[in-house]
Amino acid sequence: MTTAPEETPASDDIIVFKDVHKWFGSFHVLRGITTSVRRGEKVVIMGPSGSGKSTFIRAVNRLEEHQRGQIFVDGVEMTNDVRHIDAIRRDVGMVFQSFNLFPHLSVINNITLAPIKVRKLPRREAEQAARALLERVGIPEQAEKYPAELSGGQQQRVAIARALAMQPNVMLFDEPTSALDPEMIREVLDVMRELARSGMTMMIVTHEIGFAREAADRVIFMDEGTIVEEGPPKEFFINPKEERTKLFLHQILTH
Amino acid sequence: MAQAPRVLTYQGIPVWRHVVIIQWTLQIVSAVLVVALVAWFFSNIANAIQDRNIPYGFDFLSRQYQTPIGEHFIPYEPSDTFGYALFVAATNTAIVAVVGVALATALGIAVGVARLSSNWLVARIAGAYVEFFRNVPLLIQLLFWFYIVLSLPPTRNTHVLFGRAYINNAGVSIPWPLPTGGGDLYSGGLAALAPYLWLASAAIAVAAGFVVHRILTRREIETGRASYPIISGTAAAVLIGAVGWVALMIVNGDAPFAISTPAPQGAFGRIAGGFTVRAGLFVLLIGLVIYTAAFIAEIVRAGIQSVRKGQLEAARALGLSPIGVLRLVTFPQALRVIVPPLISQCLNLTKNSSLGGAIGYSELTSVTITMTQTAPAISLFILIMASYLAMSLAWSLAGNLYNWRIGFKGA
Ligand SMILES: Nc1ncnc2c1ncn2[C@@H]1O[C@H](COP(=O)(O)OP(=O)(O)OP(=O)(O)O)[C@@H](O)[C@H]1O
Ligand SMILES: [Mg+2]
Repeated sequence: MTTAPEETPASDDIIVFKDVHKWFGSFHVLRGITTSVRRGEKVVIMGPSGSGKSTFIRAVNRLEEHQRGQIFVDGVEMTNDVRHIDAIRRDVGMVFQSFNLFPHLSVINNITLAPIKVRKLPRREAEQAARALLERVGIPEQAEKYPAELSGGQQQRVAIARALAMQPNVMLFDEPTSALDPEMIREVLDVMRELARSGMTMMIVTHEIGFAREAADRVIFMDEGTIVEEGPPKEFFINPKEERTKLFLHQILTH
Repeated sequence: MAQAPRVLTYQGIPVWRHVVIIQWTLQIVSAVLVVALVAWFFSNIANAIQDRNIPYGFDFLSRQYQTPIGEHFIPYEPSDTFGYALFVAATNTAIVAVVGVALATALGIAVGVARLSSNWLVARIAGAYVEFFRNVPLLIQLLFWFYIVLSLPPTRNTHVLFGRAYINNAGVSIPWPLPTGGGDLYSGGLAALAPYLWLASAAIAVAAGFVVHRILTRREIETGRASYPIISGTAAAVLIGAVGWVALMIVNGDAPFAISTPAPQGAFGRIAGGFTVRAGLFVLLIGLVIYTAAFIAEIVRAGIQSVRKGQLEAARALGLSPIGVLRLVTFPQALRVIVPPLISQCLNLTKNSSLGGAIGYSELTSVTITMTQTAPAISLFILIMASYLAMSLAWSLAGNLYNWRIGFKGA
């Protein structure tokens, strides 16, 4: 679809990070991230506050620019080329901790905005798809309401539906349940589990260990801008190798 | 505890402890006090007016004013009445208010957006503009522009701009389309009617353009096929306007409008032809627009900044273009914050136009002050207070209509 990057990564890797560095001013946030995500893989990212988890996944759709190294999404390198950035953003959905629904639009219009304006879908088609997505996330009856009229859990499910409406190949989640009350966390995690079963590629920053154990193919542990340790959840939770990982797991399990 | 007598209870609660009763009592007491105070105030004024034989009343309104008004946009003769002269002055103020608000809003939005620019120089210049013009008294700024204009050459050796426009201490003259055929419907026949017919066809053209735009926009949204609403709408409007123009030219042998280029005439080089904005109005508009735009820029900046960063990130993550983000996400939310204080800047500009007399523009206040020499001052001032109030209420109404419209759309 676009000019081929000089070095096309293996085709079943949908996201590839090669020695990615990022600075905020003089503060070195990402210190050489190298990893890749396979098509359909579910990766959970954990780590202490300020370790760079958000910056890491926001670099995937260039909400944060990296200054060194390479990032490939779907074989396309993320550079300053606007065409590439737009193409990637259409194909990568993102869900935020604070939902970020558009308060001036009804639920249905939140979901259909980008499909109509960006994908140029006919309105009727976009609305049909939106209603099907609302059904899928379990709130078909809320279509005409405004975000402020919904509970946090409902808002987050609308946000997931909004991202899915663009028919992305990858979904990024940045602490999707951290702003929710316990009873609402479950309804959002249920939606995410269903999405995981459907084969979606997912990168999820979360501290929900239960979810990670059950849904993740791999857990990445970050600290101070580097990947300290990564592996399948069984190994990662039961038999962590690094001291820092052990300390972190100890803290979140006993807090 | 002592039992309250039954008559002094409401819903089983002693009246002096019942929330509803307490609130109603306070409302009634305060209303009575306000009415009494106002009545006392006005009866005092009426007594004073009577005792000292101060002229009062509104009979003068139908008398001839017998004084020229420096500038008027509707026909006026000194033989017209006081009432009509006041109306003429009010239109002078209204013109400044409407043109001034339009220009100040446009400039204010531009400066406000510029302040947020990632271009360092642009942002700094916009910042300096705001800090300078909102911190210097308006009257001083008006007088400053006034002396600048006074220092321009007189008409007899006027500055020439681009070979076709003139700027001098009498004002600015620019080329302007004027109706051909004299515009006198009684003697001119069809030739005189042609400009009006063309204006009508132009209005139809614009309306048709909007309709085409609307239909194609809807089609684009419904079907997802690119339908070029802006280009097609503009084309439709231009086409219909051109057809009207050519038709009138064929029937009439002459174009309905001709560009009139201003040119100096006579020994003093008075500029004739074209369209002249005279110095007073020019200075007043420049002063009010530059001053008010500084405040509007701050309002716009605050409005845009009030939209949470997460909103922009969500919009960008969905693949919306930067313009799309601004148009579909930022502005609709910023407007809710911008409109109420923007309306109060419209009020300020309108009321500040009352300084126009200081620089020789015949607006409502300066005309009224002149009138006090031959008419009762108190009556006059009651009238102009009512006029300003009416204009302000018109702005507020516009703002409330906007709020009412977006009020339907949730939080
Ligand atoms: N826009 C920014 N400007 C400067 N520093 C920033 C910016 N955004 C994040 N940082 C800093 O970068 C570091 C990493 O931030 P990041 O948000 O990626 O951490 P995180 O692992 O997601 O933390 P948390 O669990 O608290 O969300 C933090 O120290 C943060 O203060
Ligand atoms: Mg974070």
